[in-house]
Amino acid sequence: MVIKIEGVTKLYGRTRALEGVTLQVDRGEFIAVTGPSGSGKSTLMHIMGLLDVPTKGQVWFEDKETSKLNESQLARLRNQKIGFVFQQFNLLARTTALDNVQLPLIYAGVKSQERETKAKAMLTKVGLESKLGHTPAQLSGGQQQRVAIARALINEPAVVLADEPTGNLDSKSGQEIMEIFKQLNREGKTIIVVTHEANIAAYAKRVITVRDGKVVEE
Amino acid sequence: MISGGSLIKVAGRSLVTNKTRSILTTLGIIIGVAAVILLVSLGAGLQRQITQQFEDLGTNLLFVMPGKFQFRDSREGGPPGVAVNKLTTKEADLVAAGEHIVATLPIASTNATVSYQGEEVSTFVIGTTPEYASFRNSPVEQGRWWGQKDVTGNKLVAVAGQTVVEKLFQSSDPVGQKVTVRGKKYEVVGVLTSKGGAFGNDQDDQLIVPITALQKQFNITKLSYFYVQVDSNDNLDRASAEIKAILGKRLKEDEFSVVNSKEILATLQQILGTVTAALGGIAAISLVVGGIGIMNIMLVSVTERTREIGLRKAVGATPRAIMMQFLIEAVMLSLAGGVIGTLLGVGAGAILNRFIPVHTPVWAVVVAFGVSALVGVIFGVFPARRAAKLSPIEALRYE
Repeated sequence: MVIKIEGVTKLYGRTRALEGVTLQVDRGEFIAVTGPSGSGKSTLMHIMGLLDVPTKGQVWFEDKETSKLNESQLARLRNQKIGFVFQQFNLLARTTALDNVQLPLIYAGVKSQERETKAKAMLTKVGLESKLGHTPAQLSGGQQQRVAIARALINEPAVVLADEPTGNLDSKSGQEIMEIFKQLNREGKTIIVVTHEANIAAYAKRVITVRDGKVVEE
Repeated sequence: MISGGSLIKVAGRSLVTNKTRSILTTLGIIIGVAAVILLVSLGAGLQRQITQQFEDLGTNLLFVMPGKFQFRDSREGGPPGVAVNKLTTKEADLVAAGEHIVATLPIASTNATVSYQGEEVSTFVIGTTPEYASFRNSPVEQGRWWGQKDVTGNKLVAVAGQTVVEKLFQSSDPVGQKVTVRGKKYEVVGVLTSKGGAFGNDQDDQLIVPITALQKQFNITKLSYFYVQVDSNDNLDRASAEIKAILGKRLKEDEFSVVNSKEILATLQQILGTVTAALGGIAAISLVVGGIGIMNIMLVSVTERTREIGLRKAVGATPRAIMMQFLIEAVMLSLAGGVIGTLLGVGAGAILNRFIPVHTPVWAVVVAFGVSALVGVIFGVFPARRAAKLSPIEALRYE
C-alpha cells in the first residue's frame, strides 16, 4: 500500500470539495481519477499528494499517518516520496532543463555533481538528452512536460501524481506523454493521473470517477 | 536538508536572473551608504584640519580678547568685544611682566585694499611685533622678517602672505617692491611660507606690518586681541589667574576675557562632532529609505513568483528553506549595495580630498556597511515570511 485515505472530507469555507472519501492505492497501480470539473478530483489529488490536509478523515502514506506531521515534515515527505506533474508544467522560467530537473535534489541536499549526473540521466530517459541547456521558452509544450516528468522522477518517488498532464497539449503530444507514464508503470512506478478526458483515462488500469466530492464508481 | 551553500546559490541565481531589477533595487542602498561615508568624511576632515591649526598655534598659548568671550552661547552677550574694546598695547605689556608669562603678542588688524602697479587686492592687514614669526610659527621663505627697530621706528615695511604675492606680483620678485596700502607705500621685505587653509579661511591672504605703523595710519588704538605665551603647559591656569589679576586692576571683569586655546578647540570639536553626526544621521535616513525600497521589491517579487514558490514547496522546499531564500536575496542585495556604496563613498572622498580636507574614519565605513547588511535582514524578513507562509496549492493555482 502506498496511499490510503479514510473518510476524508474537505471543506473550503462552506463548499464541500470532498465528502467521506475512502480509497487505497497499492504499489504498481496506474490509476486515472476522472470526473467533471468541480467534482473534487483535484482536491483529492492534492490530499493524496500531501499538498493539502483534509478537514476530516485520515491519510496514510506508506503506513505513516500524516495528520500529525507539520509543514516541514510534509515537505520532506513530498520531496522524497512523491513526484508531481502539473497541467501548467510549472518549470522555472529562464532556467535550463537541466537545472529545472535538479530542483527537488537541491532541497534533498544532494551534492551538485551527483545532481547533474542524475538530472542528465533522467532527461535522457524522457528523450531530451539534446535539450539539457534549453530554457522552457525554447521548448515545445510536450518537451516542457517531459522536463516536468523528469523532475518528478528524479528522487525516485514511491508515487507520481499528475494533474491534467495533457490539458495544455495537443493530442499527439498528449499521447506521447501518456505513453511515457504507461512505460513508467510497466517499470513498476505507481502512477495517478487526474483527467477529465476519457481517452486519457483509458491508459490507466483502474479508473476512479469522482462526482460532487464522492467516489461514485470504480 | 538543503545546505546553506545551495540556498545561497539558489538566491544568487534568482538575483542574476533579474539583473536590472536587482541593480535598481540596490541603488537606494548604494546612495545611502555612499552618502553616509562621504558626509561623515567631510565632517571628520574639517575637524581634523581645525585641530591641526590649533596644534600649530602651540598649546601653551592663551588669548586675551576684548569683551566677554561667550563661545558657548553667544546669543546672550552678542559678538565678543564689539561694544567694549579697551585692550591696548599697554595691557599687553603689563601682562608680559607676569610671573608665569614669557611674552605677549599684540594683534591689531583691519581689512584694506593693497595695490601694486595697477593690481589690486583686498586683504587682511595685521599689525603686530616681530615675535609673530615664532608665536605663529610663520617664517619667511624669501627676504626677511622686519625687526623690533622697524616697530619702534614706525617703519612702513611689510611681510606678505603667498596669496597676496600671487595676486599682486605675477612673476616679478616682490622683495624690495613697494605696495600701496590705502595711500601709503609699504616696502615688502619678506614673503611668508605658505600655510594653506580652507573653508574661506586662507591663512596666506594677509599682509603683516609693524603694529605702530598700522595704528598710526588707520588710527587704531585698540587691539583685536593678544596672545600670551605661558612658561609651561602646567601653568596655564595659574597664568590665566595672573592675567585676570593684572588686567582686573585696570578693566572691569566683562571688558576682557582670557581664553585657553584648548577650550576653544574643545568647543569647536564638540560643535563639529554634532554637525558630523547630524549629517551622518540625515544620510542614514536614505539608508532606511533604501531598505524600504528593498522590501518593496521583495514583496513584489514574492507576489510575482507565487507559482514558483508553490512549485518549490510541492517538490520539497520547507517553509524555512523558502524563508531563507528570500531573506538571503534581500541581504545579498543590500550587501552588494553596501560594497558598491562604500567604494563610491571612499572614492569620492579621496577625489574631494584634493580640494578640501576629507578624512574617512574606519568606523564610518564599518558602521555604514554593517547598517546596510542589517537593513537587508530587517526589511527582508517581512517579504520572506510572507513567501514562507504561502500554501503550496494556493500558490500553484495563482494566475
